[in-house]
Order: sequence, then structure tokens, then C-alpha cells
Amino acid sequence: MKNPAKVNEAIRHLKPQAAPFEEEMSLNFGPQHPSTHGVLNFLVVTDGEVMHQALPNIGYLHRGIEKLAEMTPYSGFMPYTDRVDYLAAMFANQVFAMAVESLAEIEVPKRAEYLRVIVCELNRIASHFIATGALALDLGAVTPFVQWLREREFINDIMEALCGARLTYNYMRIGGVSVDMPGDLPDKILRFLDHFEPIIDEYNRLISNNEIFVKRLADVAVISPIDAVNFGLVGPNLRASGIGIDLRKTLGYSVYPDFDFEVPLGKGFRGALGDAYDRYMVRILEMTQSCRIIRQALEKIPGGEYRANVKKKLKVEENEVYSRVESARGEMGVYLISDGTDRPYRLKIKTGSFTAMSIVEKASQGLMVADLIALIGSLDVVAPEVDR
Amino acid sequence: MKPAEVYKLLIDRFGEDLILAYVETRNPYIKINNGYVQAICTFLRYNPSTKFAFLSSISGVDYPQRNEIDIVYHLFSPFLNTLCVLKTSTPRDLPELESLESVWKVANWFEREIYDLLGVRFTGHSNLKRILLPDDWEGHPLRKDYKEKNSYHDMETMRPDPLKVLREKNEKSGKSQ
Repeated sequence: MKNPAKVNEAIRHLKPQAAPFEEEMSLNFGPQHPSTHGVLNFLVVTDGEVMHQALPNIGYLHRGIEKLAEMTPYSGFMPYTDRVDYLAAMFANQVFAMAVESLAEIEVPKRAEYLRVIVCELNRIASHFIATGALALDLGAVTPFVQWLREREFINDIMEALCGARLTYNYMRIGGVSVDMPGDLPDKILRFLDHFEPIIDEYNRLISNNEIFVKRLADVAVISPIDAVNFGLVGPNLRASGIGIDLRKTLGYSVYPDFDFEVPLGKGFRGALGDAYDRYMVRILEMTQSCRIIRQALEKIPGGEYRANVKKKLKVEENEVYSRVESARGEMGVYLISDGTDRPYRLKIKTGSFTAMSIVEKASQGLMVADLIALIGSLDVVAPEVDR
Repeated sequence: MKPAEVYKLLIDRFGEDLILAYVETRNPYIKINNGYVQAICTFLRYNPSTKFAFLSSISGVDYPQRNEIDIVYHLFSPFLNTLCVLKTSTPRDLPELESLESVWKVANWFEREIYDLLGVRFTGHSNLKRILLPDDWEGHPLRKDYKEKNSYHDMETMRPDPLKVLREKNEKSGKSQ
């Protein structure tokens, strides 16, 4: 199936009249399709069950956030960052705050850094719920998704108690966080962790080790380590291909060096290295590590201020920075150029989903049409993050 | 290896005509000649002492005052744990650069995005089309002098001020009562 035109040419030569897959057709997949995880469109080029290629067509959710940033004061831009990736809003909050803090030379209090780590890791778990649950849902298993939604509700409640919002948090501020956590919140989080950790095993029994589920994912849409680097995959997708890059470890930003945790790698759990099942399993294993980080953070969290003193009308000297965090979907970067005024001269947001989307063109070649859903689901692409 | 050492390495290999300057900022950047982007990036990617395996992002910045568009490459080497920032500029009237698609496949989409939003053409690119905006969109929004058209395919692009609408509605209903 590498070169369908040539195959067709050869067959036409042999059987002049009836070539069963002489005609190549193009099918539209999306933009309104439940398995596309947002508004996405794929042009599927096929002559039957096997795809020749799926061409992603993005931009349906382009809101021009980068242009908006040029018109918005630094402090006013925080709510926009929530909308970059609504399933993991904390990371976008953090990376933008880090960029501005680095340019304006603001030192963030230790307590604020710990609070940031706690909420980010909670958010990572919540985001992986949707990633792994929706993957199972797309493949036809409804129960796991509903079960993860139930667990996610606890995290949403915790976030609501903390900052009043359940999804688009707008929790972080330049120089810290907006509010300190209420006195009973650590107990609430610990209670959730105690309840949640055994559930991972239950979930694995329910779906991860399910024969049908494994067969749908193992050896499907294998992405080799070379391709993963070449196409700029980041985060869990990259680690599933066996490359151990986690910015929490490599860069050690914020207070992550204080914590003891592992970075799960794909190793061909049920099939080849870098297949859809590896990408799924890496996320499941990451949840346990996030729990470990939260427990340590709650234990070690120091007292004191939760926000540095920052002027309301912040003006930043001419300078530039590229700050990065490990978001739930991998490396998220903000390239920020300031020009001495109170708003950015240019702000570019680099997201993990954007690069993950670009590999679909290559990875979909020769896949079954039904496996396209496994590919997209396992890459954990979120449409607003692709389009910004 | 610090960015300054990467700069020294590049100067030794390519000379001052290609490697123009080293500028200290929060993330120091290396200014390079816009005709040799591909050669310099290939060198950085495959040289055993640098191994910049990842292209983290490509961004474009518009500078109408000096009539140039800057293209910024962020290269990341996990082996050195170093970020290398390369910057090059291209004239605003006829912005054109070499594509990096042959070095990193991911450059394909990054460059399409820059073509879409800033109008920079990349020679040797396999599929240089708009990516985020519709194919028939006019103009490049991230240019500083961009003005949005009032309508697109007979659809209004501006929404009326909701407060004004509300006020007018209240006035109307007040009058009718």
C-alpha cells in the first residue's frame, strides 16, 4: 500500500476491466464526529478498509490567542491561557506566569511553587482521566469513561474549593497564586488520593488488561523512536516510544527537584515499542507518579506568603525568554518578547498537541480506518490546543 | 555546554559571515545569516558534541520599524540539557527562507503556521498551504499592521458591543411601555 497509484497501475495491466480497488475515494471524517476530541477534520484517502493516508485539517478552533496577547496587559492575559488547553488549564497558567516572572525578575515564594505543583499534578491526573477514558470510549467501552468521570468529579470539587472554578481555573498569578488553600483542603486531597490509588488497579482489571481492548491497541500505529524525535513528539507520546525526556526531570523547573518520582517509559507492554497500547499505559502509570508527587508536596509544603508583591500595572523591560513546562500533553512552551510596555510584543505558545497532530499524516499510512480512532485517541490530541 | 560555547563552536565552523552575533537575553540567542539556516541546523543536529535532536518550536516576529520579519528557532538538546536559540531575519516585502523540513519533519507544520500567520515563504517546503486559517483568507494576522476585513463570505467579523445593544433594547422597551 506504499504507493497506491503504482499498485493500481500494475493491476490495471493484468486485469483491464475489473480491478476491485481501482477507485480511490476521499472521505470526510469530522469535523462533527464524537471520536475526534474536538472540532477536527480528517480527509481519509482509502479504497476500502485500509487507509492510504489521513490528512488532518485543523483550524476550526483558531481564536488567535497569540494576537490577543499583543493587545492585553500581562496580568489580564491569564484567563486566556486557560482556554489554550481546557483539559489541563493549570499548565498553560504556569508556563505563562513563569515566562513573565523570568522577564520581570520576580521571585516566587516557595509556598506558591508548592501549591502550583500540587494543582498541576492534580490537573495532570484529571487530564489523563479524559485521555485514557475517552480512548476506551472511542473503541466502544463506555463504562471506563464514566468511571473516570466519577473520579474526575472529586478533582473538580477540590479545584472548586480552591479557586472557585472547575475547568478554566485562572488560579495562578504572576508572582504566585491567587489564593492560599483553605485549611481543610490538604485533608480533602489526601482522602481523594487514598480513595483513588486502589482504583487504578480496579481500572486495570476492568479495561487495561481486557483482551479485546489490548487487541485493538497492541501493535497498532507504531511510532518508532526516530520518527518520534523527527516529528517532535513530546510528553507521554514521546516516552511511549522509549525516549525518557520529562522536563520535570531534565529542566527541573519550579520545585520538582525536591520530589522523588519516576518517569514511566514505554517498553512494548503488550506489543511493539511505541504502539497505541504503550501510549495508553504510560499515561496510566503516570497517574501513580503524580499521586506520589502530591503526597510529598503536601508533606513538605512550607508556610509563608503565597504571592510576591507585583505591581498591578506591570511593565517589562526589553528582553525575551522561552519558558517550558511538562504539561499533561508534553512540552508546552511560551516564547515571550517584551518591549518595555505593559503588554507583550510577541507571545508564541508552543503546544504538544500541535506536533502530535502532524504525525497523523505519516502514522496513518496503511492503518485500518477503525484504527485511525485508536491513533488519535492514543495521541491524546485536544483540538483547542492544536489551533490556539 | 552553554549557549556561548555553542556560539564559539559555530563561529569556528562557519565563520563570521554566517554567524553574525551573540546576543545576551534571558535565553541568549545567536543571530545567523538567513541564507544558511539549513546548513547550520543540520550541523547542530548531527554534530556529536551538540546533538540538538529536537526542534522545539519555530516562531515568527514582525518588526515593521526595520521592515523585517525575524524567524526564531528553538533547538533543544537533551544530551547537553541546553536550549539553543537561533535567530534570522528576512525582508518584510519578500520574506523567504530555506525550509527545515529535510532536517526535522516537524518543521513542516511550524513553517506552514508561520506562512499562514506572517506570510513568510519557505523554499523547498513540500506542502506550503495555510493551516489554521481558511485557504481563501486575505492577509496575515500576526503582522503588526494587519487589519481585519469587515466581512468574510458575507459574514460579519465584528460583533456589536453587547452593552450598547442592551442599552438600546432597554431604551426601546422603555419607550414602548
